[in-house]
Amino acid sequence: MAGERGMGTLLHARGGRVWLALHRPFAAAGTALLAPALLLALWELAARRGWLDPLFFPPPSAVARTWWRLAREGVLLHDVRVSLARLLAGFALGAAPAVALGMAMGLWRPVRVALLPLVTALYPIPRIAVLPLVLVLFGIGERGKLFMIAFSVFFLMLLETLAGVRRIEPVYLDVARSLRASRWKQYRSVAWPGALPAVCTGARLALGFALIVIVGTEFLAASNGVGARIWRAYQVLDIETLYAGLATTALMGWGLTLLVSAVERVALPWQHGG
Amino acid sequence: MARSVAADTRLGRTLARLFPFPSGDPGSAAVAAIGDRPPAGARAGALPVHVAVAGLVKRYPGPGGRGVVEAIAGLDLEVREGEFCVVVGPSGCGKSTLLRLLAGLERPTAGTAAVLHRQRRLPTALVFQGVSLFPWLTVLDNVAYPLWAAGVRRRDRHAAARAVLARMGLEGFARAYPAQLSEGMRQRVAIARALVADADVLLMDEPFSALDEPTRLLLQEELQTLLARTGQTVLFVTHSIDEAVLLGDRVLVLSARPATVRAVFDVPFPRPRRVAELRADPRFGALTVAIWQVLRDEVRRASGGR
Repeated sequence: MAGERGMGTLLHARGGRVWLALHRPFAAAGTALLAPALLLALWELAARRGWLDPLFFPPPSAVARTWWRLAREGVLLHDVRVSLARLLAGFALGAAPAVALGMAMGLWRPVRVALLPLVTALYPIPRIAVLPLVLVLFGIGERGKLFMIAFSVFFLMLLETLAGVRRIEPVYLDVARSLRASRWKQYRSVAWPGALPAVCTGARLALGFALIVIVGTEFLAASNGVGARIWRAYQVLDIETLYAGLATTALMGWGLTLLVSAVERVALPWQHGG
Repeated sequence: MARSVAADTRLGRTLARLFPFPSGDPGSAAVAAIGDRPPAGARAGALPVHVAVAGLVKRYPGPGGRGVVEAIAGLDLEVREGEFCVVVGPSGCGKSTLLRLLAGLERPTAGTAAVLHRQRRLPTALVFQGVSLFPWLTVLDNVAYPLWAAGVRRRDRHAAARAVLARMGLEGFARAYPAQLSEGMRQRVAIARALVADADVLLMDEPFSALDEPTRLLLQEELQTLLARTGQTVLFVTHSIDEAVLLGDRVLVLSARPATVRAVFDVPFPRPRRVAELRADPRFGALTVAIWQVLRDEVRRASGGR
């Protein structure tokens, strides 16, 4: 329940507990931050007291300082920009045909019957396992990395879209057909919006996969990007930069989640109470 | 463009039907419109047939692909222009199938199920049982949907949708999404969508069955008022005898599956009808009892009893 009416009802119904109801999100955020904050404080203490070997577990404050230095030098921003560009381009390359094919498989039985066994067979291959093959086929240039990302998101997006189309209530298509909407209009007004929530869920999961795959690929086959930064730090045992790189990937993942949420708010207004 | 011209005339008809009196006191206009509607019995013979079902048979493949389920076996019925015809029958007897056939969602196995007038197929609008509004469209776009499907321009279809919403007291909810409305509101919007379609024939499949009693009574009265204006032909399926007698000019009782027409009752009460007044009328009780006596045997047969 959302929107003005919902809030009004909430205010009237809860009476004295309004304050609690309104502040619950903030309270929840506070509780959620408590655990990591405590962990970091403990780590800091342990590292400073020498309970942890600072060679492998430098204090968080040192990592933060290194992270800040790299950020100010523009090194991190460059890494993030390179990795994100690969990730988003690869995602678009993989997701667009996946959504189109998923819709086709969902709407037309012959296409589904012809392709589903193949898709189900290829889907469980670990994405990173094809990297050596991709390196052989494409070399270590940008094309190989884009293909890796595209491949890692393709099957997931396809299966989510397919499931989304199949889950649409038949009555919605009946409404469109009973009003004599053309085939094209049936797809536009029912199949597409009906599958869209599943497409968004797919995108959320697929971007997570894509982040794993781009970092992994950059370990082995790149001279720039966040993955390459981490890998080089490992090779020279620059542990603080290594942690800074890890923190950066975590931030990228968080940023991508926020991006999907923002897109969902625009694309799925009916799920957010208008 | 030929398409948009045709659509504009369609739209014009919708508006003309909803607002038959361009000037003057709207209140007295509404009363006049209701008063003008003669009881169907008096005029039925003279008016053209809108819904013609003859020797209709519908069979489905049985569950698991084995055998055949016969839903309808040789059904005959006619509904004339402006008539409100109600179909009651045991659950699962093929009532919904009949409406789906008439709406063109399925094809008959044999016989005909046609909605036409002088060889021309008349537009129909089907009001579904339960949830049928698109959750991803606002109330306004849901109501305007039939016009979108027909290719009407955005401004015109929104104007028509707003007019219908205003007519039904729903204008404040134009921008809401269906999930934000109560069940009764949603069903009102579904009816508004069917009215915008400006179909000559409304097919209604237990539209009020999911509603609580007060909401149902209110919507039954609202529907009568709306139809008094539009004069549309209605084929209405229900499992409620009270509802059938309250709304119908004629009540058809269907047999247990496979469906055939078991009995036909003419409903003599003048319109507008109010539940409270009807309940006080001894003929109302007699009619519901008479319908129940026919229906009871069919329900027993449908549930496997003797």
